[in-house]
Amino acid sequence: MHRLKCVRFLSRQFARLGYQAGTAWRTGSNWRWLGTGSRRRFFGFGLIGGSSLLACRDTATDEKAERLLGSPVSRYGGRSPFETAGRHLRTTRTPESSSSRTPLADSSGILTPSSLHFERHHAGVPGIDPVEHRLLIHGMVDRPLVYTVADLKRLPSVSRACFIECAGNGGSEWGPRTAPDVQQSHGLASCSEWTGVPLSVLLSEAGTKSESSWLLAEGADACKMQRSVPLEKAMDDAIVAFGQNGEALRPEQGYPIRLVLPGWEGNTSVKWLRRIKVWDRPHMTRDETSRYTELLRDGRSRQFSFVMEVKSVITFPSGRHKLPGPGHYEIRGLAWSGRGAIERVEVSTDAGHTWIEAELQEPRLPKAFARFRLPWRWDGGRAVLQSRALDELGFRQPTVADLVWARGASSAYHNNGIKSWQVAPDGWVSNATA
Amino acid sequence: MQRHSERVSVYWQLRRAQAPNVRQLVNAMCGVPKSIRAHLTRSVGACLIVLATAFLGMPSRTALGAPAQVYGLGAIPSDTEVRAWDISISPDGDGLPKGRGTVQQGADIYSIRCAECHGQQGEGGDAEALAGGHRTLRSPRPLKTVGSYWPYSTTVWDYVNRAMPFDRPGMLTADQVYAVVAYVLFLNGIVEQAAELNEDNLADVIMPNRDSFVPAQELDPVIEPSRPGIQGQ
Repeated sequence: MHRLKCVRFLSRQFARLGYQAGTAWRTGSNWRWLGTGSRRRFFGFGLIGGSSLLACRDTATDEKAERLLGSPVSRYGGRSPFETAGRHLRTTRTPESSSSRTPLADSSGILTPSSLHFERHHAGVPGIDPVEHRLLIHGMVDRPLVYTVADLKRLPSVSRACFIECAGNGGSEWGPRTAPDVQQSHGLASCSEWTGVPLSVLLSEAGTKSESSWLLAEGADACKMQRSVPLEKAMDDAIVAFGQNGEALRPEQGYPIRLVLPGWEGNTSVKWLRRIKVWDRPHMTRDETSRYTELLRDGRSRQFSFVMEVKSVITFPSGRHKLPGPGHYEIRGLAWSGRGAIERVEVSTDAGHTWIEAELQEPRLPKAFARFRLPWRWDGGRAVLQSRALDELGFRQPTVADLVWARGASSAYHNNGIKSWQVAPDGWVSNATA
Repeated sequence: MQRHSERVSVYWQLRRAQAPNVRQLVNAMCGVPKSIRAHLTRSVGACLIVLATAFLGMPSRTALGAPAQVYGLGAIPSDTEVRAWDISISPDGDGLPKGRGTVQQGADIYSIRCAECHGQQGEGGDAEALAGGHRTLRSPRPLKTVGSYWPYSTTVWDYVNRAMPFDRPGMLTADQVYAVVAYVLFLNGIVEQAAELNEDNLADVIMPNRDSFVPAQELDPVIEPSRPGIQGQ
């Protein structure tokens, strides 16, 4: 009898879930709404899950009751239907040229699941047959070479965790009207374990000529997205990656192969890599002149600003969270630097008047996400939460005001400023500035 | 440049030093009889001989004086194949294909293929503005267009050629790209209405904002906010 009740209860809850998810998707044309909706559903699922457990507990203690079998083995695993975190899609007239953002507040540890890694495409995701795909290396080399993906997989490979961050991440944070949650303000950054061939191996096989100093990397998407990269970086730690988080790259992450330039602005990690031209100067492509350059207040523009500087953000409590009441919480967040490992993160709960060093969770890998946490007793009053990071080279995260002072308010890219979250006495967390 | 060639040379020294077993390398590289191989690997100048053997064994892969491949994977493409792949254009015009187009021809193509998103006069619409914005870069509301911001005319040609029109990139012929670029530059007052652009004169067009771009590496010691008083403690 208990069992039957439990099954009925669960099936009712699942039906409800399906209904809610269905209506959300049907009305999901407004993505901003869906963002808030999904959070509401998330809490809803939590309640359902909790009460289902309670309902089942009676059964579990009844040793004479029969138990239902679970699901059978499957070829490719999916997540629990109770888990709903998803990428936040930017609404554009041309969804092929758009972006989606990682739900950082729902993440754990330092790796981003491949399915939630942020996206930025300029002409859609190409469907590439890996057997047909080729990588050409040419230009100022002793011998041009064409590699198949199978060739590349025969060469010595490396694996490393590193973040990729779009240079435009934090673009919403320059002015007084900032993004309402951390997914929208900082979600153009993700961290994966990448596996592939060091680009230095391929360049050495082709033999770069002594006069060469740059390369041009080109993708196989419809617009053949391309960037110039200094050869020094290519020989240092660049990877031609075919693996991400233990499996093949996802199509939207460059399948079958992409460039990964650890610590550099995401646009340079060219996806669907098809061609590398070794040259003696940059080609001045559209995405290193008209885009991805920072217009300074004096009218000049900062070009080839490749490194993503030291940055951190609190992911809990963050925008749109609600604290149920005063008491103990753990402030959590992520920090990263394109120059190396994170040395220290400090947290303030009083809008930057006093700072406390947060605990850094291992592992702390260079040019990868690092997770920090700090126990906090909320007294129920207004609080403004901030974090600031220091990397192992001594670079410290600036305030947005510092950045505006140095570069003006029109530089658009590379905003690594300190982010504030305000906790109101009713427990709601918002993007209100300090 | 100097630094890079040093780097490459250090890299190769390391590669050679790290070669785990000279004998394995010789075995892998050619089919010389075993007794001779053993003799070679024992000899004092083994490294030099390995390089010479590699050169003899795979002449097509090894340019004279260039280091041999370590792994020997990948195919060597023909010049024709490389030319077919290589659509890159340099700011000096290197790579521009033969062709020509006038402002007038460009206006016709533009109205059919570009105006819907970029506006009839390049004023912008669903896609960014292509014209205007002159002398706005220092203002609180800078308008970055081809005319006000883009530093090289070759970049405009390359981008139109590879990425435009958005829904059908690659559809324009070289002549059509010259024409559209000529029209967009005309809209910005950079070329005359009677202008014709071709592979010889495109790179000579000087864009108004050409000299305003400064590599971040040169700027950062001056303006990098993280540095003064913040680096270190």
